Amino acid sequence: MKCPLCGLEFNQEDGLKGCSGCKSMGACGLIKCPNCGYEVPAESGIVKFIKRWRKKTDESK
Amino acid sequence: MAVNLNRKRPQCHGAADMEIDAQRSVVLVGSPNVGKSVVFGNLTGMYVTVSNYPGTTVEITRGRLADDSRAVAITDTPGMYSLLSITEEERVARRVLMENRPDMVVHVADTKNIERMLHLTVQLLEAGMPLMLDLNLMDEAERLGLRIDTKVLKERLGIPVVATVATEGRGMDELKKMILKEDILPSGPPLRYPETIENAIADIERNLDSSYGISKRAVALLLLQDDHEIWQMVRDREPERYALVDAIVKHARERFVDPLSYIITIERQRFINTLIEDAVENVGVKGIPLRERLSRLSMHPVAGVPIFLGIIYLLYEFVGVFGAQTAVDFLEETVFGQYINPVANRIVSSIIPWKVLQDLFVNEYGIITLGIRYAIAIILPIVTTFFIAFSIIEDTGYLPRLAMLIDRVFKKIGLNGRAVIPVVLGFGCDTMATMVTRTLETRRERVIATLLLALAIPCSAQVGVILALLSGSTKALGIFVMVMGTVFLFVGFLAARLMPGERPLFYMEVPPLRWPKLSNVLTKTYTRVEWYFKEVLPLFILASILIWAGRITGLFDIVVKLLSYPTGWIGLPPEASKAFLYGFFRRDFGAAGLYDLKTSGALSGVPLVVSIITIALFMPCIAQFSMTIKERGWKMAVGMAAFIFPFAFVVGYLVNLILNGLGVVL
Repeated sequence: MKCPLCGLEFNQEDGLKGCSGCKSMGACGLIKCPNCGYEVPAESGIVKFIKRWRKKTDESK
Repeated sequence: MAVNLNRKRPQCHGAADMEIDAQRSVVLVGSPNVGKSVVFGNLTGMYVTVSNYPGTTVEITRGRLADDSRAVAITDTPGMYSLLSITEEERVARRVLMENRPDMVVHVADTKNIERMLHLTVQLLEAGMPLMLDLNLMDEAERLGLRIDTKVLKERLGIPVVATVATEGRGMDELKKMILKEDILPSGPPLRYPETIENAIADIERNLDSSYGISKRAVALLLLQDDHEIWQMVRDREPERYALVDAIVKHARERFVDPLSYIITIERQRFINTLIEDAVENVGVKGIPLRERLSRLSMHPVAGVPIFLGIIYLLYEFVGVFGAQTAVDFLEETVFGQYINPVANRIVSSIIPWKVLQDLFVNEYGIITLGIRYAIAIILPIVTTFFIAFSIIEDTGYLPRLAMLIDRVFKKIGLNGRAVIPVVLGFGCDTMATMVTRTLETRRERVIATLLLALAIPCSAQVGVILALLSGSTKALGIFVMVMGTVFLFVGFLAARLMPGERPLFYMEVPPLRWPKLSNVLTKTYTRVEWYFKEVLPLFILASILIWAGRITGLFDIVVKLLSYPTGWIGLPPEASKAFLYGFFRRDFGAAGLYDLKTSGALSGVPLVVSIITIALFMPCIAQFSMTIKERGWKMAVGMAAFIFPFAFVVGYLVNLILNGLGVVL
């Protein structure tokens, strides 16, 4: 994913590393840019499902 | 011309397994989006090997370049911004450099952003790499009026420099020739740091016996910048000297107020600035693309202000007028007013015979008629429109420009443009923003930012409801923005004077302006609304239950009565004190309470504006307060709350006095 603020490209897993030390321990559902600290919500399950479904449909064509 | 790569799909073996018949090895490195893969494709042609780096899902691509006399194995690494790794991709790219000991490293850079690209060039030189600089995307730089004197770069950096446009094949023959023919020797570090850091580097170098695949100077610099992977390596390879190295780093850290990574970056930036001054000329062109012109204007200290105000006005029209009037009216009056609330009241009354229990679910303060109604009929349309607008602003790349614009103003209040991150996040959720203040460089900045977040930055739902409350009166909106802006700057200015300290420098990469994609905006909005509701709905329900319990025990009425005194002092009706009580649970819950009072006709004109200003300045919600305790400690959190509570009412009182004194009618 790409940070909407500083433009850094990073994996979602790298974005979760900033959660260490926070009381909510990643339960807030936010992904933190490892470079600038900007936060965006993790992709919703429904959005992931739609993307997977569209990819499958495209591949089967 | 994009190059098609006939990719063998990832195999689960490491880069080391992939033997390519060649006399020398070359590694391509560079940031994402600099055209590195196109350069690689041009160099190696159709057949490449793609494999996962051992133990990761990060792909490494390898290919071969050959002429009659020599064959070269070329490795394309994942995008890296810096040797100081943050992401998995960067760590893998660094490991490839450290483990492969290439005969040549080609740094592929985006010429139009040469200033920020040179940071990696400097680090690779410090790492003792046999380096060549490929200034790619030269055509885009030329279109922007940039003229690069490659000779100056060559001389000053002591490395070969080649200009390319890989997509058109321009300069690729020269690059191929250099890769095949040139034998490059490491040219050494291009700059020296302050004496304390240089001494620490020398001390660390003396204590490192093992080989790391990069120069000991680079290892020392990474240790000083607190790179966890390098620390682990030193712990494993120098068990006897580790404690000594640790002591050297700690001693160096103690000599500076700011973190060493910050000092080192600023020194590199100074070196790069002098280099850019001599090697880059901005001749300007008649036809600067509209996008670039807009980008420059949005950061300009004068032109940037009306652009910012224009964006705020559009936000107000979309969120305050469309979202908060049209959509809220429909959901509040039609959906809940005519259908859900009467039906819920009827059903609950028929099922539950006891009035006390009925009140838990329905009637004036029930879970359904208050908690869920606030969440769905008032907050949902407002936050949805706000998040749509915010996603558009975010996707255009405006936020980093806003950071650059407000850097000057923020410096006056002891902050810098970097603080735009928590401040902007505060408009989403102040609790999370308070946590993000830890990314600020100095303690002084962290304290000032935390105070301003708790005092003068309303969260997204609160902004939405406030816009809804003020819709229809631009004068009222103007007064609100002016008072909040003045409070923000005044308190920030005072705090900066009370806590003297260094004014930190600010440097931020500014990505290009771009058109937002509809699918991206919708995806982000949905994700944010879903995230928001997961968090907010249980709290709204909990607040309804607490209010219900408070009413049974009589505690609710006592607190409302107590709060009615300060609300009365600032000219508000007694009912407004309930909204302030709600505000303790959540800021938006309190603002939604004011919305209810406005629609019932109990609040309008000057008292409405006064109440909005007071509730916007009012105490942080429970979640933000507990986050402030965690980040800044008990004393600081309680101190801030003790300041904010009376301060909000004093400001409300003064605004009421001034507006009435001037005979303002709203």
